[in-house]
Amino acid sequence: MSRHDDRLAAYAFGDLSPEESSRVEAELAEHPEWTAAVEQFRSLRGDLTRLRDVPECQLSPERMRDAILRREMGDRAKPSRRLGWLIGPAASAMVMAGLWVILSDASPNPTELRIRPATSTMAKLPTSVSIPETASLLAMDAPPAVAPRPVASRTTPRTSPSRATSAAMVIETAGPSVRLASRDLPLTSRGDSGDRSANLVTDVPLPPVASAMKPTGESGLRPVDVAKDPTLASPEDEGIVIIRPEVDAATGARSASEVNSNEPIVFGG
Amino acid sequence: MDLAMSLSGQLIERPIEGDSDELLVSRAREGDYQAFETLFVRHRTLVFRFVYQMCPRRDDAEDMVQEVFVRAYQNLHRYRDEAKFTTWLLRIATNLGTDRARMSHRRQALEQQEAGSGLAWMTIGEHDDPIANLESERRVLALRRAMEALPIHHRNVIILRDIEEREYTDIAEMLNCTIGGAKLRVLRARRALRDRMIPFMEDQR
Repeated sequence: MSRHDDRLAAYAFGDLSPEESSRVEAELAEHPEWTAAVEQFRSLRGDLTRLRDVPECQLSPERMRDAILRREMGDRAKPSRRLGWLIGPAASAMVMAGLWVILSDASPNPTELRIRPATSTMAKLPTSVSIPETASLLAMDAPPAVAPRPVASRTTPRTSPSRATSAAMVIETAGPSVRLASRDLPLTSRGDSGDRSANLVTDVPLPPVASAMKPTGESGLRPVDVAKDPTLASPEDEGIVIIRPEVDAATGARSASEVNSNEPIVFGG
Repeated sequence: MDLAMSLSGQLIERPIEGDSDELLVSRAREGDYQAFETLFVRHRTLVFRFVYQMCPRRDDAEDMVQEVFVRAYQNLHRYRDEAKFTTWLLRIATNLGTDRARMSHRRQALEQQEAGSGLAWMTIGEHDDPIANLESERRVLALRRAMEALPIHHRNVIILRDIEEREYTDIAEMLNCTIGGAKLRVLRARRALRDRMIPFMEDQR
């Protein structure tokens, strides 16, 4: 049946040669019932030709040119497929490294900073904080050149043997880090003895509770326990000031106060 | 010598309208974009007619034409001169249309097209008699629906052979089959279309 239909369809659609068409016409004369099928295909053919009416293509050469330029540029902007497999592992490695840095820096306590004049022992050691001896309590008017950045000091301590009047910086923490200032920050203490100022740079994570940074020769500073280290005076000793950094909740202004006397310490110029 | 500028800014000999497709392709391969543009202007209507039958919305059809020519431009180095350039273009269009037919966005497009053509039935027609016009449009609509419902391989060969009247040799090249195979596919597709239209035809009687 399908083979027979195909012949009639080919005839109706004009696909047959003249000889084949003559044969089909002869068969149709013998089998008039096939005429209906031929009419169906002819009708179909006529309807299909009506689908040829299509609107005009308005795609302009300019749009075509833009599309090709965009595609070409897009292809050039794509990363090389040969190196594409590196993207995933590289991103994972960066994330892992970031997590490691964050976790390794997270120590539980910020936030009290003690600066005191050097003891005789400390004065002989190279330190990262050099403050004139005439300055008491908070180092006063320390020149910017010697203003220490503890991060750098830990790895490359600045030694100033000519200054026997160095001070040690003692840091107590009660949280993950102390961030008194991100750059050289003038520090002023107002007390009975008048205003005093120093440059203080502490934007680094600090070691945990009640520790101090002690010079270790050429290798930098190491944290020490204030309570156990006999070379360090206790907070009650004269000449040691403990300050507590604070942030004003309303204005965001940073300030500090002495722990013992509760006197305010003003940050800023 | 008439000179033109390539996409890369290089001066090249301007293509002439009468140049053969093969010559223009050859120049386009060497970086002469104007030669490719001449090919585009020459054959965009052919491609548009073909793709419009697959997705009868002008916007979509023009997007497809654009995509066909972008692909052609990017693959000019793969074109072999044994086949006609138009055959190669329609082959790209066939593949693209087949890919798109597999996606499911077509139903919405067809509904929109139907909604848009509803008004046209009442206002535009071949016959003076509005009822005859309506009847005629209804037949075309039914045929379009039947075409849409056909498998894409049937639809492609009917468009190529019975609407665009391509030769069997071209169809065989596009479908990558023998001429006999192309004829067989066309016959099967016609039968499938006729079977879908029979209810409508009998209803007409």
